[in-house]
This record gives sequence, structure tokens and C-alpha cells, in this order.
Amino acid sequence: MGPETKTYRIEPDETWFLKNRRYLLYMLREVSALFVLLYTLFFLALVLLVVNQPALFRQILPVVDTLPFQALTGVVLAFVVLHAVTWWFLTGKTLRIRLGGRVLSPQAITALGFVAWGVVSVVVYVLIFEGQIPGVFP
Amino acid sequence: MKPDRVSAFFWSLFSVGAFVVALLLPLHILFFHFGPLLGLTEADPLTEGYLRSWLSSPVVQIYILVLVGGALFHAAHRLKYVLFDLGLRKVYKQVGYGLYTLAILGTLGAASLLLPLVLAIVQEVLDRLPLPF
Repeated sequence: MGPETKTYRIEPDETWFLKNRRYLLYMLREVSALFVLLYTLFFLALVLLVVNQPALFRQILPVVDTLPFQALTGVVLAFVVLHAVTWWFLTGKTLRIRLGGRVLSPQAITALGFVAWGVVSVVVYVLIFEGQIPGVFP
Repeated sequence: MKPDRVSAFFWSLFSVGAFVVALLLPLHILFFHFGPLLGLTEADPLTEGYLRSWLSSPVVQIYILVLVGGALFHAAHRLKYVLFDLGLRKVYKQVGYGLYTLAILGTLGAASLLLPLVLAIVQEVLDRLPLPF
């Protein structure tokens, strides 16, 4: 009889992300998806209600103005900012962009992401508060 | 071995959605919910009159479709793998199907805002066509 075979078994451990600060940050970023999902569904419900069921919209709107709801929206904002910042740092490592025969460095790609974010912030501001982009869309 | 095109498709939606969420969602929440509080604007977007007028713009309808579709498909795919990471390996695929269904329905809901515009364009095209009837 030969020697006993030892098979490596992965022990199930659901708290692995609590053992290292980097793993915890990774898991917080992943969990941001839950807040993205909940907020998006809420916002979609809001716009569909105001168009199709204005009476129900009027009943829900006072809840949106309460302090606990605003605090919850603040938590959602913190999670989506975490997603955005970590995503721009990640794109530096995952994207390969050639410009004029040169490959951009990860730092340059990350910087481009933040610059694009700044430009888009102006567009989103105009879009939300003007409802149009002058010169582009009437 | 055949390439897994279905997984590649959902990973692509995840990546596009991640860009949409990173670019638009923080700004959207900041301006929409905290704009008046931070003194960025005098108008409160969270009122019936403002929203109804805002939603009548086609560019806003397209913006909402991109925001909602991108965010829902991104979140669905990521949450599916969060369940896997948390050890729920027997159910993560089934929950994933539910999340993708939610993403499809939500995107269709956002697209429904564009229906009047689409119908108007179709009507315009039909009016210009030299149809015999």
C-alpha cells in the first residue's frame, strides 16, 4: 500500500475579508454594488411614479425630505464615491492605451480618468439643472 | 473548447456599467440630492414640477436610460460574485439570474420614458415616406 494521498482542501471561511485591511477595502468596494442597485431602483421608481402615478409620488415625496433618508443617501454617496475612486485607480492597471506610438503609464490612465470625471461633472450639472446641454442637445 | 460568449457578454456589460457608475452616479446623487443643501443651485430637483419638466427633455430621458441600465447591469453582475466570495456558492447563480432579470426590467422601465419620442420619430418618418395608403 502506497503512502496516503493528501489532498489540499479549501476550508470554507466566510469572514476571510476581515483578516486584512486590503481585503476589507476590496469587500467594501464590492458591496457598493448593493447600494448602487438600491439607489438606482429607488430613482427609477421616483421618475416612473412622477410620470405615471403622480398621486402616489406626492405621498412618497415627504419621506425623501426627512433627515434619516438624507443620511441614507449620504451613505449611498460614500459607497459610490468609493467605487468611482477605486475604479479609476483600477483602470490604470487594467487598460492599455496607446497614444502616438507610446503606451500610457498606469498613472497617466488613472489621471485621465479623474480629468474625464471633472469634465463630466460639468455636463451632469448642466443636465440636471438645465435639462439640456446648450449647443449639443436642444 | 468553445468560448463562453454569454459570460463574456455579461462581463462586458459589467465593465461598461462600472464606467457609467464611476462617471455619473456620484455626481448625480451629489447634485440631485445635495445640490440645494450645498448651495449649488436654488432650484430643488426633488419636486413634482421640476421633475415633470426635467423628464420632458429627450436628452434627460437618454441620460436616465444610460444611468439606470449601466448601474443595474453593473450591480447585478458584481453582486452575483459577492455572493460567491461570501461562500454562498450553491445559490449565487440562481440569485444572479434574478438580478439580471431585475436589470432587464429596470432598463426597459427607463426606456419607456423614451417611448413618446420614439413614437414621434416613427410618425415623422412615416409621414415623409411616399406610402400608397
